[in-house]
Amino acid sequence: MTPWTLLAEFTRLVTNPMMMFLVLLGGQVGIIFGMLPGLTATMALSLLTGLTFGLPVEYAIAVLIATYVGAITGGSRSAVLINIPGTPAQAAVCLDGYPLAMQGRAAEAIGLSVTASTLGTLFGVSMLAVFAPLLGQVALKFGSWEFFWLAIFGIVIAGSLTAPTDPIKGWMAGFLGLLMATVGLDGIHAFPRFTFGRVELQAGFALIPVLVGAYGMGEILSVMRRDERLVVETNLDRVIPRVREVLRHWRHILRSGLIGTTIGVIPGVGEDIASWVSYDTAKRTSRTPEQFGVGSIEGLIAAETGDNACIGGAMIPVLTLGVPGSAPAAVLLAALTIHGLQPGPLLVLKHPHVIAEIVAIFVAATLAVFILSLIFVRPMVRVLLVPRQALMPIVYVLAVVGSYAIAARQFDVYVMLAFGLLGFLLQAAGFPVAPLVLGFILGPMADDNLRRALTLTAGDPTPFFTRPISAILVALSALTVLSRTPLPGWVAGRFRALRPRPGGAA
Amino acid sequence: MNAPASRSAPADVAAGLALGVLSLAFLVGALRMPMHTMHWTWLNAPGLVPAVLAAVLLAQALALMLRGLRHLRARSGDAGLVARALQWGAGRVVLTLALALAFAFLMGRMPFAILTAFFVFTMTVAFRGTTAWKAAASALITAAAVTWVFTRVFLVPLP
Repeated sequence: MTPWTLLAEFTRLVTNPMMMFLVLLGGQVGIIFGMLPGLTATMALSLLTGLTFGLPVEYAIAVLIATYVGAITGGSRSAVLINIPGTPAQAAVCLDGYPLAMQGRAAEAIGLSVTASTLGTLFGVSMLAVFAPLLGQVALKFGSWEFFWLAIFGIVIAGSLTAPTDPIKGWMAGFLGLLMATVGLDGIHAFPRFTFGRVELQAGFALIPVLVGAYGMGEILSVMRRDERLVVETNLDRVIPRVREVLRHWRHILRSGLIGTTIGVIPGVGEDIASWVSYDTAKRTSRTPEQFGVGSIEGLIAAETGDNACIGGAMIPVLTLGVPGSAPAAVLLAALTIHGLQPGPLLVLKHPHVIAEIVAIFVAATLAVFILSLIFVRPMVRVLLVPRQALMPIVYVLAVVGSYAIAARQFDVYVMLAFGLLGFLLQAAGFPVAPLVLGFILGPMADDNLRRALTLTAGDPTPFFTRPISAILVALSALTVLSRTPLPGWVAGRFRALRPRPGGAA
Repeated sequence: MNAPASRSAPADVAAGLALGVLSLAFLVGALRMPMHTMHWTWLNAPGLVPAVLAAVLLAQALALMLRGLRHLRARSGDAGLVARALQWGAGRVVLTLALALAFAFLMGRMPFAILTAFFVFTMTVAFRGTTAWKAAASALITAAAVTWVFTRVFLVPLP
């Protein structure tokens, strides 16, 4: 992909009025979903995937990408104004955004966060444009052994990072997702597994109802459980930031962009972790760390750049390996699959222009969201005041229609409800939902490739550990698990005990 | 594994038990699938991967349950189970689920627009989302907009 290809794609998109209308619409829907606590980017994408099923593929993908960018950008609004992150990705933004609002600098905080988000998204997308074709070449070397380990690595790393205080729960959620994906006809022999003679179960659980249930229905139950009302008290004057003020923080923008993109590439981890790591790194490298948490512009910019840069990073493994880098990217993967663009190593071979097209849509969506975010600040604050209890019934109706629309089956609505309840109960017990969904997506990859690899080697498991990429993935998975056990502490203790003490015996 | 907070112990025991029973059911189901036929051997048998995954999940569930049991402490002076559940919001969750299930069950049994309007109004009023008049307006607009957009614009055959 050359810059000229990209420019040609971008020009083609922005000169298509219908495309630009859909990008603006998707961006605005995303901003609203992002800014309303309880409505997340993943929920927005899950709902819209079903709802845009009837649109031509290019339009449907444009709506979804614009919604993704809008939702991750829009979440800072509620973080700054009411100290509640619109989506989990903005949790770190609350730390400095809200104190700034309390100092009467809400407009400045919103303007800077939107600008940092835009720069972060553009950074991540430029990384996508550069590295997706390169990684695509490497992905062509993957065999069944590597794809099996990639699925396991995805579960292990997503489980560890989304359940940092209790990783076993993250891993369990991931394995539960893998197990749920085995329901239905198996991918090699078409043997019915766990179908109990039901025709509806032969195709397994459809991805969209599972996603809408786990993220949408689960979130509806979480929001309705609490009886909370929001109060917004702040004044908004100049929102558009000064260029000099933004450029003064170029180091934080570049560093957080890099961190966000890298974390985005890691399967299933996502924007919230990218935001926290960027914030923490900015604090440790800042000359004024004492300002962090009481109204630091650096902290705000770092967190916002990090979570938005994650978007581009998360799309790299989606397009090249068929493995989602974040929960919203998992929905985009599903949407691409539903529309006949099977993400993975063969995507670029089958559809050579698709990466350039997706990058161009991302750039157009980012610019559209930037403009929308800055011009509709006051009306959006009014939307923020709509009670959640009045919104959730509407969201539920959309969740039902979204689940139903794919195959016009009532069974899918029940699947959505069941996974909603499962996701809600798991979350209530401290389990993260992201590994569950990631496991469900990666399940067929793990299942088919393990059996195919064993068949190819007549049962010899050696290549699983000796092929170079396989060996790296095994080592990374094992290290991730071992690092979360008492073993490293025990080994360090043994070394300390063996070291000779000054003036004493060893 | 990092030591969990003891307050999560009851949830850990319950989750470990539930996931343990589920994975055991999957394991039994997978082992009952044929491992050798004229089409496949155990290397690519359909039950191989579910059996392995279920066994791993069962081991994890047992570990979680045992850890929870170790940390479980009898707490004197705590409110009763029902009072604690209501305080947590279980009543609101059950009401939401009941309304959601009723909506799903009635789909196809009555016109979608009427069902949607009725559901949005009932749920909004039940949870005191807004006044009855605003809830009625919201219900009518949602029902009309959703039905029109999906049947006319996206051509989805709503039940």
